[in-house]
Amino acid sequence: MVYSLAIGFCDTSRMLCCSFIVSFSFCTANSESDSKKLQDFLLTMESSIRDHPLWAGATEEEIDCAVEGLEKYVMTKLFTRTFASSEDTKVDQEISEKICLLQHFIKPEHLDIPGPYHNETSWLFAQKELQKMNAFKAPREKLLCILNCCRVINNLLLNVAMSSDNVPAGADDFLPILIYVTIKARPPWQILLSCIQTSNSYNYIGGSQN
Amino acid sequence: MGCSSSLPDRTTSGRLDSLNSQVVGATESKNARVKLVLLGDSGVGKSCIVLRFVRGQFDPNSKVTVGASFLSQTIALHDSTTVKFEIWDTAGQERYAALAPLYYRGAAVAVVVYDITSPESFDKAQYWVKELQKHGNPDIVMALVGNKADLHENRKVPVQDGVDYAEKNGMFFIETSAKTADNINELFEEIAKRLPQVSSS
Repeated sequence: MVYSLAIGFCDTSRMLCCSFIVSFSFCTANSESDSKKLQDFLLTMESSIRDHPLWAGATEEEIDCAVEGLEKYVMTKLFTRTFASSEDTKVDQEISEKICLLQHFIKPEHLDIPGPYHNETSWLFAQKELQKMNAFKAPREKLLCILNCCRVINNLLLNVAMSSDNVPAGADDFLPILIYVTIKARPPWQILLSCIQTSNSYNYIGGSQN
Repeated sequence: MGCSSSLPDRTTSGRLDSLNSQVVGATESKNARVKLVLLGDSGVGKSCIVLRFVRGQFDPNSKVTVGASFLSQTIALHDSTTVKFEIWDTAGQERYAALAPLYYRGAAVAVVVYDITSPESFDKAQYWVKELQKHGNPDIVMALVGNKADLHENRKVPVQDGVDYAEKNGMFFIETSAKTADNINELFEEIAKRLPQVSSS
C-alpha cells in the first residue's frame, strides 16, 4: 500500500519536474522571470509534498531537505540554460583575463593584509575550496564552496586572534584576504560572474549566509 | 557569537522570505528582521561592537565558528516585539570604500562608528553620513557611535561635537565602549525602537 503510494507520488513528481524543465527550455532566457518561475514551481511542489499522505509525519527540516534536493535536481538539469548566457560569458572572459594579469604581480601588501595573517598554507586551502565551485552545477552547491572558502579564512583570523591576544578580527581583515584568495585561485575561473549572478537572481544570498 | 547564533536558521531561511528580505524583511506580526550595516574607519572598533553585542548574551568562552563579518542577533523589546539584526561589517580601509554601496544597499539601519580619540575617524564618519544621505535607502535609520569611550583621558573628539552633528543630521547618537560593554545593548535597543516597522506595529 505504502509502496504503491510511493510509486504514485514519484510518478507524479517526475512528470511535474519534466514538464517544468521542458516548459522552461521553450521560453527565452530572462533571469528575472526565470527566477520567479522556479520559485513558483518549488512552492507548488512544496505544497504538494505537504499535502501528500506519504509525507504526513515529516518534520519541517525533512520537507526543506526534500525541496532543496528537488531544487538541486532541477537546477542541474537546467544548468546550460540558467548559467552563463552569452553576455555573462563575455564578461566572465574579461574578468578572467584581468585576474590572470593581476595574479602574477599582486602581493598581500597591495591589499593591506596585516602581517600576522600571512599564511600561505591557509590561503592555498581557501583557494582550493573556491576552485571546487566549477565542479558543481547547482547554485546552492556553488554557494557552499564560497562559504567554505570563507570558513577557512575565518579560521585563520580566529587562530591569529586567539594566539596573539589580538582584538577580534572583522571585515577590515577578512575582506582583503578574501580578495587576495579570489585573485590567486587559478583559472579555469570562467564562470565567476555567472555564478554570482545566478546566485543573486535565484535568491540564495538572502537565506543562506549565516 | 556563540555557535547557536551563527548557525543557519532553517526555519527562516526558506525560499519564500528570501524574496522579501531586502529592505526590512518579513514583519510578521511583531517580529522584524532587519539588515544593519556598520561603517567607519578601520580600527575604530566596528567588529568589537558587534562581537560584544552578539557574544555578550552568550557564553563568552564559546568558540567562534563563523567570523565577525556577518553575524545575527535577536533582541526582545519590552512590548514583546522581537527584532533580528542581520549585521554586516564592512572593511574600513580607504581602498575599499568603493565597495560600501554593495553593503548598505537594502540596509534598514546604518551604524556609523568613530573613535573618540581620533579626529580623523570623526571626519571619516561624516563622510559616511553624507554618502548614505546621497546614495542610501532614504528611510534608513542612522546611528552615530563614538566608540572607545573608556579612553576618555585621550579624548580628542568632544561629546558635544558628536551630539551636534547627529542632531543636525537626524541621527541617534551614543558613546560606547566595546571594551567595557558600556552602552552596547543600549545602542541596539534604541535602534530597534526607532525602526518604523517596530514603532508602527
